[in-house]
Amino acid sequence: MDRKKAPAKLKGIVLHGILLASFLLAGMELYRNLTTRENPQKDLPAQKSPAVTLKEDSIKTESIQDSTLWDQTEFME
Amino acid sequence: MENIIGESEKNGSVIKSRSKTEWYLALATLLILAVAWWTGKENRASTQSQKIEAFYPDSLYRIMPADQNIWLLQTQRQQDTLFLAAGKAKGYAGPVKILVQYNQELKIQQLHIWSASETPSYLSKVLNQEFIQTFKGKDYDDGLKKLAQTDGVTGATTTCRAIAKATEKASGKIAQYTGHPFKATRNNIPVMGSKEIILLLLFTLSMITRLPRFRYKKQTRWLTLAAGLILLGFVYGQPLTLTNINSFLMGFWPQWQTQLYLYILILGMLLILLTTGKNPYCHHFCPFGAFQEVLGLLGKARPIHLKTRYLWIWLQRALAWIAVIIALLTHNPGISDYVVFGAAFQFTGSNLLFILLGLITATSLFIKKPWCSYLCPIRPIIDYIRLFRTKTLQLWTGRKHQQS
Repeated sequence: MDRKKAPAKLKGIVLHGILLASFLLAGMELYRNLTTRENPQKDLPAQKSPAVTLKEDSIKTESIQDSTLWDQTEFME
Repeated sequence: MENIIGESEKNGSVIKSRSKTEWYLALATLLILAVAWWTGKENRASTQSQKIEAFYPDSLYRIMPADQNIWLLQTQRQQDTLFLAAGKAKGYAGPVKILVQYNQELKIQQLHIWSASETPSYLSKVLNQEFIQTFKGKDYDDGLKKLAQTDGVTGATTTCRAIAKATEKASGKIAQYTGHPFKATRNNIPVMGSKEIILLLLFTLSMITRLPRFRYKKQTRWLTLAAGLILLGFVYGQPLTLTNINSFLMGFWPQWQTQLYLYILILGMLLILLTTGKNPYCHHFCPFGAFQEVLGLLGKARPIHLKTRYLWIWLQRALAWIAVIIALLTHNPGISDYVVFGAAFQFTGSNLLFILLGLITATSLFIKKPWCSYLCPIRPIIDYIRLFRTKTLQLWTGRKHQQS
């Protein structure tokens, strides 16, 4: 009786292991996507930006954060 | 005899209480989904303006707003004023927003993905294959949209097309601002193509097999499964994914002229599900379902009856729910997709997805459709819709409807 039960028990353990591993992998994929979302270009070679110092008072700096020109409604087209 | 009656009454009350719990959980889920959708929408608006400074930091550049989605850019080394323009187009999962830098002659110098909701592995594929580099040095009116056809990345056509279209839109804006002539490329993509016709045919065949008097149910099912696997899977590479569902939930409805296939797939499935309570897609022509069935046939797979099945089903539901919530919170439909369809049919995906695919493929040889039974996020969503259908019918007719 025990000899018959043993393979069934082993099969159950293996199946549970596979399911658990699958869930872990799916969860890890979710986490990986979340952590890379902020910068999709981060894997690319860095873009060369000129290292410059700006002449003071040459032009008035206006922060994009303060501007309201990024019009959301424009994208509703 | 009394024992049997007692046992059956006990089981009945357990099922009843379980069903009640499920219904309350479903209602709570609906509420949380609505809150997540709203929060995500608000977050998106506030984070968008911050990103431009990540590309052009204040310490190196001076940016002056010039017009709607147009900025003037200055550095000390380059005394000339450069132009920045933003354009947006609909991608596979949602909007793709591009920031384009032009020189004085309106030649493209730089292209930035401002924001995109595409599935990360597909977006990485496009970025890694340097599709964006092909735009550099091109004139603003250089037929930019055609670059998606000539230099586009195989397997990520929609994303490439969206990038090209958004760049063309940005060029149109900058041309208008500077007073240069501009003629947008005409859109000649056919509305109804072969894949739409095949999809309609598959829906029709799946409904025919439901007819009680139809004799060739088994053969027809294998025919639809084979068509789903080969055509929807390998040829067109467009199985139903969580990204598609997230996109529709968030209101990122793709352009119907170019994505009619998706409309037929989602609306057709929803229509049949709501009217008949049956799920034609998963059972009849889901490419990955067919893939597992074929493997199961080769390995003589059997369905498994785990004692802990209920626990695994709830894990499947929880994972799908978390994925949808994350997508809504980040307002990004493709962010939380963990399906292995891209890895299976387009050979696109992360290493983790390929390992998961390998595991599922091996398991499918011995167990019948393990992905569908325990991992697929589409099934819990269908069950969720079905639960609301059943409850609505109960309220409508005042009778108890069996969940199919």
